[in-house]
Amino acid sequence: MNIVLELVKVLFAFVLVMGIVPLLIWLERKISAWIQGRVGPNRVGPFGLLQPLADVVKLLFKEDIVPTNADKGMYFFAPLLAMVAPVILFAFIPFGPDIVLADYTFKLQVCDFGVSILFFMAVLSTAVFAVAFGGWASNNKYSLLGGIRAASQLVSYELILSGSFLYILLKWNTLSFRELIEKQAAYGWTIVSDFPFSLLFFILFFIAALAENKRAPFDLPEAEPELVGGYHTEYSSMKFAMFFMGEYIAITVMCFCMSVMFLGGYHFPGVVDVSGNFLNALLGLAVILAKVFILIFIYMWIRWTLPRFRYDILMRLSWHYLLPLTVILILVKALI
Amino acid sequence: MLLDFGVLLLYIVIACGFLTAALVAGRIIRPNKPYKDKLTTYECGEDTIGTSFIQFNVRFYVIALIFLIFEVEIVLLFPWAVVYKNVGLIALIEMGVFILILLAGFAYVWSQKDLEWVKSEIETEKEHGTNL
Amino acid sequence: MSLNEILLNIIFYALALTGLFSSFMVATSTNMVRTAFSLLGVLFSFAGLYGLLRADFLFAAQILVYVGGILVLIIFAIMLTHKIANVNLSNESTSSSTVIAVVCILFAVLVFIALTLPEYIKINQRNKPLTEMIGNNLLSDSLLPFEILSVLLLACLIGAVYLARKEVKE
Repeated sequence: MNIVLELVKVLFAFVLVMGIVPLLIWLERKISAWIQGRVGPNRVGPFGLLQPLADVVKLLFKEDIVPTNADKGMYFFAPLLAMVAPVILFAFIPFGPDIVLADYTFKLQVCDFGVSILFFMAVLSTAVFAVAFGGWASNNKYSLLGGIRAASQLVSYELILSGSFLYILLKWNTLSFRELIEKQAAYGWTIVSDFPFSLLFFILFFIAALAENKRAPFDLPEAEPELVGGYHTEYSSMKFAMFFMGEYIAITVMCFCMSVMFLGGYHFPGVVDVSGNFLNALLGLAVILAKVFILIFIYMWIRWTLPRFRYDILMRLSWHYLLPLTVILILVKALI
Repeated sequence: MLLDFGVLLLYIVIACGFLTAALVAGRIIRPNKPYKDKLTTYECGEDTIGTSFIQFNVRFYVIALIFLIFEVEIVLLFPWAVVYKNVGLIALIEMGVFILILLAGFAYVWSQKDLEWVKSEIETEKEHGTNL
Repeated sequence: MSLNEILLNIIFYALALTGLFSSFMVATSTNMVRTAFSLLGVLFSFAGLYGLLRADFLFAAQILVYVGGILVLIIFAIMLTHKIANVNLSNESTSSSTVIAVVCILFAVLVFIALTLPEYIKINQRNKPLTEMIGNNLLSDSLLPFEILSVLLLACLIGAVYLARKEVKE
């Protein structure tokens, strides 16, 4: 019986993370249109809601072109990596409070190892390989440049992400996302309970997350004026779709992570408690989704507002400003 | 714990299965009419010269190197951060020394301009002998 | 066998086979970037084995440092090689018989260690999380080695950066 429940949960988690992607594609197009004073997709379905579906169907019917010079095996593996890694990341994130059914406590989180933050960090650091291998395997100069740029950029900003995780550990003394939310429910959300530090680390983490997701203004790996499509120049059809969807899944997962770390996850004062009934879990899910969508909206707002950085400025921002700031903040936090 | 491992494995299998299904579905319904020109490398309409497996700037390597050292440092800070509140002053002193030694390295790298992406022409000339 | 044991065995053998297969690919592949790609599989499966032994911190450290750090460095190093245009390079400086002899000796040593261990580490009897144990140890018994480690890292940083820069000048 428990195994069936777990299977249902896993399927639900997968459908949740995959289901957000088309919604994000639609939102991105609508929000960009709104910011630029256009209408956006409005032909396919009501408010153009079926547009992502039309996109997927189109991509399914597109011919898959594999360049003769490409390294076939790795050309095939790179998009798989790009999509599987962020999907696995979602497994460590709790997306709702516990449900107690009969005497079985049922966690709304794919797997809880007690040290989910460490595992999350570890899997996050593998995001480099999809772009690096994809760019290399295409045997195209633009792709290679995009791949190498992406690898260097991800590596530089990962230190800031790791520093922020370290701060969370210093503040709450736990390595489990679930415990983190419980502590925030008891002592106030991170962002308000530890004011100057938490806000600074939230901003640091947000900037690093933008860079880690290769989003504007840090979308240098796919800067179209210089690099055509960057690391996915040679990819077409479903393989391109995988890079594309992987990127949106990574954004979703990062927003989930931020809402859990700084904004109390599925907790909202007066709305969600720990009674363990089903309705309560649904409310918790709604709360965390609301927080995630607010963060995603900020992501998109930034993308359609700020111009792209130059590569040397991007690297200088990370190594000359953000990294020393992170280290100093951690030292000060430890001393207090 | 073990159940969690199993569930994670199940989750990964479902994800991979879904991807495989998508790829297979694509392969069945999409057209496949390759010809030589279509399969060439895309270089904005120009003919490709040589492969792209080229040697690139050493700066990327240096950045990765510095990153690795700091990543090791941060990983080592994690066990310390779990227990430092129980141990007291000695933990703080130890970690302060640890971080300061590495910050000295960071300062050295910074002063040597390895973190600069754009170097002035004079510096490039000094390094390479010629102005590239 | 209980369900747990069956599950444990399935996961263990899946990880071990992945590790073996990837190591084989690392050893036999002549394309250096493909070798790096196979190394990814090796490092992951070993990290999975650490996870199975409940060495959660080792699992994370293995992936963070080896996969996210050293492997990236290796890929960059490969792409920096002069003869990268000819990717089909293999190390031909040692004859295969020597390699086989060395591998056999190493294998014998490993088997010897495995057989002479006084008892298997009782993984299920540990009640504290590993990260906490390591932290306590770093602040008591291993305090001096830990500080020396930071000096070592500093030396690595300065030395490696110096060498990398020198190479450019030549």
